[in-house]
Amino acid sequence: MQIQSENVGQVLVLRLLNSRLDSATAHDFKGKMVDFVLQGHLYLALDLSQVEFMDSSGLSALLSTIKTMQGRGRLVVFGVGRNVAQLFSLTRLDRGVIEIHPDQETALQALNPAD
Amino acid sequence: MTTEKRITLCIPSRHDHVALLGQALQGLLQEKIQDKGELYLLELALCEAAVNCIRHAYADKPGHIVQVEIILGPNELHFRIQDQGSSLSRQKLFQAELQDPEQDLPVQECGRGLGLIQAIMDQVDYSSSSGWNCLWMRKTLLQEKVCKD
Repeated sequence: MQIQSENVGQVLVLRLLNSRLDSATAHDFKGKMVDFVLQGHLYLALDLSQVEFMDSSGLSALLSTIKTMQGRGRLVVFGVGRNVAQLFSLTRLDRGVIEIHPDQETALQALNPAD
Repeated sequence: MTTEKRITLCIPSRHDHVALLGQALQGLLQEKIQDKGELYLLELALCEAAVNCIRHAYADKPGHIVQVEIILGPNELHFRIQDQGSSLSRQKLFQAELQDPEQDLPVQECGRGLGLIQAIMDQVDYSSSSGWNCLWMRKTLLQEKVCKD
């Protein structure tokens, strides 16, 4: 699982470089995401534009990351492709559980409201 | 003339082999189904079923096999996913549905696999016989998404 990270203000922008977030990769992904949170990065913007396939294990990893934040921070996603959007819609996690933005700019605006 | 096509695939009970099933399915269906969103959902249902075998029937232990039969008819697609591990409760399968986060709190972190399968496929059944468990699924392929042979 490859994740590229970049600090932009108080936000850590994370780019998931794998095309699949599934049962084979979700455990590693979740570990890395939880590490970012435990290191004190509480505002995360996750770029999913490279992800073509996500399954319920990938969803679980995202939800675990949000749970790890315990309301102290926020995780938003952007660059969501059609397949992943279908998964979010089917599971109704796009209704206030996973915060979705169309691009990095709007994701950063949401997490850096003073900018 | 359109004929039924069948393929049987076996993978070891390892998560890093599940994607191979999805890739095989994509290859089988790419000339039949033009809608990439529909292809994704069918791959998702198949992969969730295989993951369910590995995770629950085999308790994530390697050294077992998951056998998948894909039957492609003129207007229908069938999957038969078989394992030799612990059986799934039929009640659990038939009661599986996706949680509505707006109604049900707290939001579950996991356990959406069977609900996704039920939401994607038109018909699902499960049986156990002679040491084999079989999850059967059917999906009608809409005419506008089916290419002429």
